[in-house]
Amino acid sequence: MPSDFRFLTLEITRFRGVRDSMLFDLDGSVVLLHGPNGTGKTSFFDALQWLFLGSIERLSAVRRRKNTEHIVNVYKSQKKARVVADVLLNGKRITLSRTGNYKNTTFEISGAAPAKLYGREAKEWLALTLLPHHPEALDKIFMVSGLLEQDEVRSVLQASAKDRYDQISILLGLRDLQRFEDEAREAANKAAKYTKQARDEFKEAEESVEIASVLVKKSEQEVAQLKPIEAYTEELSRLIKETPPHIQVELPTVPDTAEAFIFAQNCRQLSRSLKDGWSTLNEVQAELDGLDARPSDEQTDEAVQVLEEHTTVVEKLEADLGNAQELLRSAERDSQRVARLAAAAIPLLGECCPVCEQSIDPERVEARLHEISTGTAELIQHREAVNEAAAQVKLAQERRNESKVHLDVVQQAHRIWKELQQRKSQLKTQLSDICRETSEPVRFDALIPDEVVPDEVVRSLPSIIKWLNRFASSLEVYHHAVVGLQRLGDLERSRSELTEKKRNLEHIRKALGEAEAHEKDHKSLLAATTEARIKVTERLFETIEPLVADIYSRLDPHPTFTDIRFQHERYYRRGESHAMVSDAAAEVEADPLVVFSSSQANAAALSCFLAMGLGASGRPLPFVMLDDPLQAMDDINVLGFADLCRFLRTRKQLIVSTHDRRFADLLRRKLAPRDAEDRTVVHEFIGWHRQGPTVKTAYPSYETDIEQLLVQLG
Amino acid sequence: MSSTLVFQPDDDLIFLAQDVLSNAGYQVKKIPQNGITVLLAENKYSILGLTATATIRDIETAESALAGIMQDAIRDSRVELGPKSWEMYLVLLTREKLGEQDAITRTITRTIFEIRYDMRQFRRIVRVGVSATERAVRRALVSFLDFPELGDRTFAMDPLELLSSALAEHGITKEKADRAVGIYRTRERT
Repeated sequence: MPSDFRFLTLEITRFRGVRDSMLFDLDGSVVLLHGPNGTGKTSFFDALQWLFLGSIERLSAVRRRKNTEHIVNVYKSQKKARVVADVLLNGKRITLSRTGNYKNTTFEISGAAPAKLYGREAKEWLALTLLPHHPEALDKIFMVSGLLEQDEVRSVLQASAKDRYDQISILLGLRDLQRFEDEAREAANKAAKYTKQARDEFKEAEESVEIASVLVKKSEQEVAQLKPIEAYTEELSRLIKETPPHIQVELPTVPDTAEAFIFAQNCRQLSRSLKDGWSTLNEVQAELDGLDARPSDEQTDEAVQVLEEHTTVVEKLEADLGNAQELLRSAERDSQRVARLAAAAIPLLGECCPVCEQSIDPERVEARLHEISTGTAELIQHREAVNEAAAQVKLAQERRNESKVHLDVVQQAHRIWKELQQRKSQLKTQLSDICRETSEPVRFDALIPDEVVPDEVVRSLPSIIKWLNRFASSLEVYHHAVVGLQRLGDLERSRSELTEKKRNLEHIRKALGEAEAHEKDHKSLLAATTEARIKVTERLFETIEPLVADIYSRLDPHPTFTDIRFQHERYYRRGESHAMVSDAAAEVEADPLVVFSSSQANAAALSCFLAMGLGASGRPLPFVMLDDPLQAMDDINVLGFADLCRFLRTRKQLIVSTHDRRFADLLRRKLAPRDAEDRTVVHEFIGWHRQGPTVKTAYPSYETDIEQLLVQLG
Repeated sequence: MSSTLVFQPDDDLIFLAQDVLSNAGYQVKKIPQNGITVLLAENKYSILGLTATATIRDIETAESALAGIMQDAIRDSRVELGPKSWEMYLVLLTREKLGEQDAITRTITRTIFEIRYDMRQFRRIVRVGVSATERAVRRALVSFLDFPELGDRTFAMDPLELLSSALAEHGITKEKADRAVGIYRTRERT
């Protein structure tokens, strides 16, 4: 039994099956609880579970409603339950207590520190004391290797393979390895991220150096191409001397840079304006020159007169035609009267001619008379006169139309000429304005206000424009040269910046090298951790197997399946553990839950539970509590279990219960103390009343065993 | 003297069992009697008689003989057994394995079962198929031995220490591995 921890007493008040208060002596390496079912043994184990965990997992799962009170004794449900355990820890008496109900509890520890510890602080202290390597796993480890609840024996085997793997991992301290690997991965990821940042930064700095180098080089080239400033001023002076007629230039010997730039722009602007005006003027002049002749007013008047004459002729001829037509119409009317007179005489004729006695046809006579009356020589003469007059009118009209067209043409040409003249005049006015309103440094010879630019000036414009362009170019070159010379200072600054950037680049290059090395280290550590973790996990899992097999052999549950082992399957960080029993002689392996009877399966499960408790990494829990683990076990299993307990008590404080009197007697005898320092405590649960269990406590020794045996034998 | 029955003993297994029990702190006495070799072993908890037979068929005979020898020895010793009177064992070992489920094997199996469940005066432990190796004999006598020494076992070691060593085997220098584990421990503590 570990010397550093032992339960001394347990006081249970208003908790579960205990209405009032009960004090149990636990000061022994073995505490045996026995008595019929329903006498309060499980309340005892529940009290220990609640004390440590603050809840009872089994009851939390089965209660009907969430707010069902399942902690406080049903007869005292308005008050709070309380469980107090005195423990001996490294020779010091410590008191653990929990008070509360299903909803709220308060955990306290006194004696551990000068002041009492409460709540989370107390729980953390306890966990750290019992499980220094993985205190956070206290609750889990308590349930998988500290307390085996009644009827839960086989849950060890029935747990899912993954849960079992997790349980074993926790017990073996493998969570630390997982966490270590997680941290190694996180560190490797961070290092990779940092390297990427450093690489980006380096690239950026490299580009910056490259750009700065190019700029410096370009500036150096520009500066190298620069001539002395006098070369540019001489060129300007030369051009000024060659100033074309009609314009004058006023320029300082050494113009200011900005001034030169503006002057250049002004010259360019003046040149463009003059060129535009001059070009347009030339186009207008070309159009004027393209006209056949300058249309005169006389031509127009003459065309008007011809038109009027032709119009008069037409009017006279039209009057003649009207007269002729009147004469014709009069002759026709006479002729028609004669014909009507003759037709009236026809009925006076007989049917036969009195002269030749030929028959007379009145209709034919009438047609002939009509024909004779409309075809007389007079009528024909009138008609010819009308036709002739009409032909003359038509001819005269044609002549009049032609003269009208001619007049239009003359008038159109005259209008165009006038418009072009007007445009030319406007252009000249514009040119005059341009010449009058020039900006520095060029100005034209003085023009009288409102005077248009003289033609000789206009003729000089091409040479003026050309000169202006040359002068502007020279000013620009001068400007660039002065600016370039001013850049000498900038060049020095650029060179300094480049040097600084190169230094920075080296610094970043060094940092990048370190980051890459750091990343490489972390990646190597991660890769090695992954491999090493698998190796350590396998090694640790392998080590627990002989312990399981050892305990299984002690319980000896099956005649042929004499070996048990965990079959572990690992997939990177996940894993599964299957408990398998084997018949080595027949080389057969099976799942104990499938091939074993209840008692055999219980024995196998108990082996696993105890092995996990003993095999826990670092310091395992210093106690093991087994609530009626012997159910359904046969005599051989129980004897094996009793032998096992003998060794178990030397490792941990053993608290075990059974409802079976025969087994209780067997355990009582087997676990009776053999040394002066050994102590076995037996609590016999005789019955249960409303106030709680009736318990009789005994401390077996050899003598009492014999006495009891003699009593039994009668 | 009740042991007149004869069987073929397995001296190798008996020798190994003597060794294992001695190393476990038992006082062991070898008793050769009428051609039969048995061991009597005792510690503060229990007394056990042990023999080993060459065949499974001899188990039944050996059990009778061993029980007789144990009873004689207890009777002759005239010492107060104390609580050990509840801790007396007959241990029967054989190398032979149980064969197929033929009629003979079934009979033998039944016999062994009856022996194991015979609780009169002694608890009887029968182990078949025990190889003549210390490991197999330890396994057969596990009920009388303490648990494997936890302090020497890997599972009692700190997994992080194991990890540190394993890292060194995977190309990480010992110094780096220890430093990484140290940093992890410090962080966990805080």
